[in-house]
Amino acid sequence: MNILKKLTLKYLKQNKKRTIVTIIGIILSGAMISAVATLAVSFQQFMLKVEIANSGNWEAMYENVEQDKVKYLEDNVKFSEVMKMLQIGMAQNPYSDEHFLYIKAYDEKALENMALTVERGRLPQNNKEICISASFFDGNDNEPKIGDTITLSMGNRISSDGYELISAPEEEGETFNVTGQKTYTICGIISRPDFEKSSDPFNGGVTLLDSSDISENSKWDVAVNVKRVHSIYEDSEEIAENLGLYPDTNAEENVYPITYNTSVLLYKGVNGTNGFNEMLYSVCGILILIIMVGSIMVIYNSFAISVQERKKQFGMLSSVGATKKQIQKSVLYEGFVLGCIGIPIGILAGIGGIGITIRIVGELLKSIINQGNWTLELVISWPTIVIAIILMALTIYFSVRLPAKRASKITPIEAIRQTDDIKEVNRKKIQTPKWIRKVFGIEGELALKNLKRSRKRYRTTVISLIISIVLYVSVSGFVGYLFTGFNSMYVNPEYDYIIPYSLYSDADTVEKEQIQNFEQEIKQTERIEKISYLYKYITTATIPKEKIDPRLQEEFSNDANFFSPPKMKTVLIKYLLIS
Amino acid sequence: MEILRVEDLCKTYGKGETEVKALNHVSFSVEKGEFVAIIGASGSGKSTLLHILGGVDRPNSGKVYIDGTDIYSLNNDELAIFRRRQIGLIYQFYNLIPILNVEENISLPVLLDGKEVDAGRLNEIVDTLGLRDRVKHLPNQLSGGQQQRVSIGRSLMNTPAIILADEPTGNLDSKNSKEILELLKFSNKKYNQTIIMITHDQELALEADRILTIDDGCIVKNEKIR
Repeated sequence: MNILKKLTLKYLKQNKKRTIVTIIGIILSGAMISAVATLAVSFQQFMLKVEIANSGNWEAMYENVEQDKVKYLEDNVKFSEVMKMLQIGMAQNPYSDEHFLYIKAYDEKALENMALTVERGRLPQNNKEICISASFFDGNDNEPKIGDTITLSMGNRISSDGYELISAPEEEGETFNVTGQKTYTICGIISRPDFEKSSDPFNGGVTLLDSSDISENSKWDVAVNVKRVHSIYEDSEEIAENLGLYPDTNAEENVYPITYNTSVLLYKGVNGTNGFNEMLYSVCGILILIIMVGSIMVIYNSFAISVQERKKQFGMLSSVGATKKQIQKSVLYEGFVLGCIGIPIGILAGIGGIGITIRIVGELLKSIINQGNWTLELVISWPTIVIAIILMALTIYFSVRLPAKRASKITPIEAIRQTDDIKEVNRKKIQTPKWIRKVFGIEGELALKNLKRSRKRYRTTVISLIISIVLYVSVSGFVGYLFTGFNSMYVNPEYDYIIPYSLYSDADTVEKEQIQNFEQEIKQTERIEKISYLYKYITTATIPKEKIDPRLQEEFSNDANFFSPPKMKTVLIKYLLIS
Repeated sequence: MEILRVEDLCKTYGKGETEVKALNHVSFSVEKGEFVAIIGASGSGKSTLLHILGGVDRPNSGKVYIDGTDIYSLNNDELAIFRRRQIGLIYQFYNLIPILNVEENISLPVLLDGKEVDAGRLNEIVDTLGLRDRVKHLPNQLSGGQQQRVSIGRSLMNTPAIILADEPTGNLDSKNSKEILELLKFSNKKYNQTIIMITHDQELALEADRILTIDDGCIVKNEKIR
């Protein structure tokens, strides 16, 4: 080993206390950086999990795929998971004239991943069982219950001009062309499945896929997860083209019948932006920057002291012929060695620490965020660790660079002249006012003289103090704002009771008086700390026909009701928030 | 053969009223194998001269040639390397590295060069200096005389063009002083090693081949003794 490296190691071993203090500084800094990064990743993964629970664990869906093309999708190497949904078809609602039932048969993966939420009962276990959307049920007495068997007339909705209708609203003159009968046992009630929109004239039903239902003319919806999520848009279109899927004739050109699970994709970091990711990353970025600046100050100080202590050694080495570069390298090597020890421990400590924190906070958060049964869990990601290591290496490098330069500037003369420190003192500089001795005694005067003598060291101490105060105030302020923001986003404002009541502007004065009395009464009630008022106005207004966009005018022209609102009124909803 | 030539060296410290002329147009030369003593009172400029000869402090004007090289035409790194290979320095306070043992301290100039230590040379020096049973000791386990012997060993290790000794016995008792001086003279003879010693001790200076007397930054006497 190089003699200077050996010297550095020996020095570090000899000055164990200082070495340990520096390593602790590095560990703390590494722990904070990795904790922030890990927390951010964990939180993002948590939000992704919640989003997957809401909109399903799929990324893209190919719609209306013909039977002979399904195989191509199933065998495609670009997909990590393929979920198939067979379009069974439209059925007449035997209990109501208003709605139809639209039935799809999911394979097992689709049942698992398409975010079907069972409200009552269970998911279908064969192709004779069916789960029906909760919106199907109106609460009438003659409606079927779980366990009942229903027989459905299957067929197509045909418009008066002979087109098949699916999602289109019911038209005058449309007919239902019955093609067959199917019998199902209702096994469960599910929240509205994603193929049923609230505007659709049908309710959704889901059964389990069975090969006996497949025919040559079958049409499928195929949802997939891809292996390379970042090129999902390009890849999907290419696949659609290879498949010979054609854009919807009604839609604009080159729009393939592919639906993307955009909210899930956003949390996976694909294209587009959503406020959440940006907020998370910028908050983390700022926090990490603050931590880095603080750490650099602390670690820098540590190395500056080390160089000061080794000053004689460096001067001596340089008199024996060590070059500036060799001495710089020697100090940088000191940083490298300490980093090699401190960074891994720091990162492990940070991840461990945040793991424990998440355990504790996760349960609390669960009750706050109210997003189903999802708990915040520790997510350890290699890229995060690598980034943390790089950031720490940079932190240490910036901390060591200046002391290393300073060390290399030490001349042999400084080492030879051991009386150096005393010579530099300027008498005028260290004069102290007389009252210092009177107030603080000779000890105080000596202390002040010492500070004045080594102004530079004194300055670093002051700067360190300032920075740590600024850091503390800014981080705690920042976190405070963060929590307030978070609370107002996910949690209700702070109050214990809310009393809403509505006032119509034309309500008679009696009602107003009653309310005023009520408010007065509440104000006088004991143990009410604070009353806040929240007003919400809802008004209707008349808009002259000419002022409406011509395109909309046409839309509304047949419906005269749109332009003659009922009696104009203003509703004032007043909330009393009591804490 | 001329190994050191000093031409018209000037060095001043401070500015204006507090200006001190430490060296005032100093010129001399030293032959290879000579043992030269430079004597002068405190503040006469002898330490400044030694620092400039050793390439650790730059003069305001003038030139220093060591073995034909104008050392102040070199940049700092080149000068450091030149110093490492061609100049051996011995200080009053030994300036050994406290965390390296005797052997390592002696080998330091070679190690800094990134070269293999010549074991034969090292053994010879250790034996010459009588440090055989101390090679693994750390400096603080040695007496002052022994520490100074280590620093002589260090200066000899690279067979430099010149050895500069700054009050090498200033910190030692008379018995140890005598020993150290004998060692210097012995190396001077054995290796034909050029040595320039700075001292304020007249008696010590008389052991040298030639005495240069410096006063107020000027060489005032240049007398050959033997």
